[in-house]
Amino acid sequence: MRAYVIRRILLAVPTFLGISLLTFVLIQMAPGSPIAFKLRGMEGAMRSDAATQEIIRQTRELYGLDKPIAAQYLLWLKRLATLDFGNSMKDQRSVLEKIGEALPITLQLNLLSIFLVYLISIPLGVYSATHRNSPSDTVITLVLFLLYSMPVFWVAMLLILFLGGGDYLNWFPIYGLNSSGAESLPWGAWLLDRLWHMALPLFCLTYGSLAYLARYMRAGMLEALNQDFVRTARACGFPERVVIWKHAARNALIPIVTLLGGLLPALIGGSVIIETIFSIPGMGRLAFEAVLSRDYPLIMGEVAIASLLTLAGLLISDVLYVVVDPRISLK
Amino acid sequence: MNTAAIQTSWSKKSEGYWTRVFRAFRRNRSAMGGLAIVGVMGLVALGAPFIAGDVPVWVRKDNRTYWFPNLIIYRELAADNLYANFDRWEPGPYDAVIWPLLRMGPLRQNLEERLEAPSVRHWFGTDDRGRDVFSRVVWGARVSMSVGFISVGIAVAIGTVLGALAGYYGRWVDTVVLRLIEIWICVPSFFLVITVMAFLEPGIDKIMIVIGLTGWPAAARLVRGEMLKQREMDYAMAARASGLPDWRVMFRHLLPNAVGPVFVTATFGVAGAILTESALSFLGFGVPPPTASWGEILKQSQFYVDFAWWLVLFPGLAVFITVVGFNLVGDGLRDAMDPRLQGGDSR
Repeated sequence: MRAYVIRRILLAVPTFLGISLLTFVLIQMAPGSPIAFKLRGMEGAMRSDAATQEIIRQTRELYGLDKPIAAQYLLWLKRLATLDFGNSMKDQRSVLEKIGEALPITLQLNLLSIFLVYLISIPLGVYSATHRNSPSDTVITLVLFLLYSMPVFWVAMLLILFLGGGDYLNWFPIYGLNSSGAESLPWGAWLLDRLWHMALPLFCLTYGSLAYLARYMRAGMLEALNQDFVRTARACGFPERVVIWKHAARNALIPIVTLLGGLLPALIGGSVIIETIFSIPGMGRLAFEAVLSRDYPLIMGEVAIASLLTLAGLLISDVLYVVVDPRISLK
Repeated sequence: MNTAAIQTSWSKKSEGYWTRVFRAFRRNRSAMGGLAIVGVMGLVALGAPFIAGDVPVWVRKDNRTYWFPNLIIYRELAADNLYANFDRWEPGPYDAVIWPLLRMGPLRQNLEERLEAPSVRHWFGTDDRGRDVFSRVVWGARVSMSVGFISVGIAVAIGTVLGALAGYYGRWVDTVVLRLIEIWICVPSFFLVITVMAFLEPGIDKIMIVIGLTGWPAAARLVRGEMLKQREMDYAMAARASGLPDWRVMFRHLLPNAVGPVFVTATFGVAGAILTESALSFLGFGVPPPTASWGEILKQSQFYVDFAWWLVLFPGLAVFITVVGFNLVGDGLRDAMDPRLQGGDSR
């Protein structure tokens, strides 16, 4: 087991190098140098003054632009390994610090969302499969299919329109993660306030993956129920509940576990839209603002950190795959 | 199926396979429904200048007949500066004109009709510049459909070539392509897309290329897997033994047998690309204004979300219905190609 994990981690090294190369190419691909980027937003007269010269010097140093391209790449690699992405151009604060503030918020939302996805989709898929072709299965399948096809920003806008005040119902807040002054509340009330604020964004982050996973679970369950060992278990006289949950569902779960790795990039991508719409100060909104203001170091830091997180997620799901399925050899 | 049947279906295999897939697809009612949706959306996209526009379909002016000025720019009409001002044009006694179904271009502003709710005159209401939302949704179909098809075309082309090379040659080529796929999967594609879009001048061609460049791994994986199977078959060895060059064996003989599953991913890919394009336009990184696109209309709605339900509902519904159509077709194709579902059991 340990050997497998180590081998898998070693295999992630070339991928990491590849990610670094890809992001490096992104930097090089940008029209003009990072310096041109920094200057784009400035007035013509300012370009020659001392502060601007200082910025140019700093940027050149940061990216090593005076060095040959191979040295520039090594420099980028070193900064990536030490997670040093320089300072944000907007407020001169360290990129890592800004990401450090935003990341917990996004993780909080996404982990809750993943938890909800699994909590709901597994029983739903099992129920749908065990009641195959019944009216309830037909309805569930149809609803899941429709949910899966709904654009997330549309759902978010509809929720804000009809549940978030204005001419219609005002059930949920549509802005931020807490009411103003929530810090002074006792922790129970604070938690309720936080959950109340999170309800709509969480729904938007969850329903798509939920529909996708439940569809998967139903298909996997249908396949498992047709297997010989399920017939054997029934023949042995196990109660149906045990057959379904212990024998069939466990096998249907195996591919579902590995989908965890695939959910991550989708969730992080979805965060950009959801956090922007609901003004949640997480990674997604940070990325959106960085891109809007062309805050170059911040963009690269975001892409790098998000990629590394995804890499970690894929690693975890690969390891989980072996843990849940003893038939997979550890070679 | 008895042995004789297997032999006859084998003797004309490639044709028999697609005929069978087609028959299974036709039997699937929801898949055919999806195809109808996709077809209608395609027609709307192609026919947008005939459905809603300011420029006539047919004009008779000064004893000359102009066919389809809405598609072709005539020098004579442009000289009179008519293209931008057709709505103000007053035909002479011997002039005649045939308008599109709705005389409402996607760009024509009317500040006296700002933010109107749907009515007989404006079926889907108007936006904050008094532009007709129905007209904009119709023209937005052009953007969505073209981005969907072309970006998936790019993704499938890259994925097929890389996947074929990896599966056919194996060894280090395979390793390199597999690593490349893993790297590509690790970088959250939506992040990558908005990052690249931030560096480029906005434009529909760039959106197509960028979405295409992020979408190829799915096709590459499938083609690689199929190639691994096909290259071990006897006919592959026969093709190689007859001295054909590698690329000919690969692309003329093996690939046609390996691309089946790619059609399924491609169909889902079109749905995904349409979603990505509208999300990009929604965030403001997509098609530059004033071009009408579904995401862009939704972006406008953000400022009037207190009351302007028509700005939210209709463009979103257009995205939703189109995506449902492509997903239904994709599901149908997958079921039709799945040999385990063939014969009798139709779900």
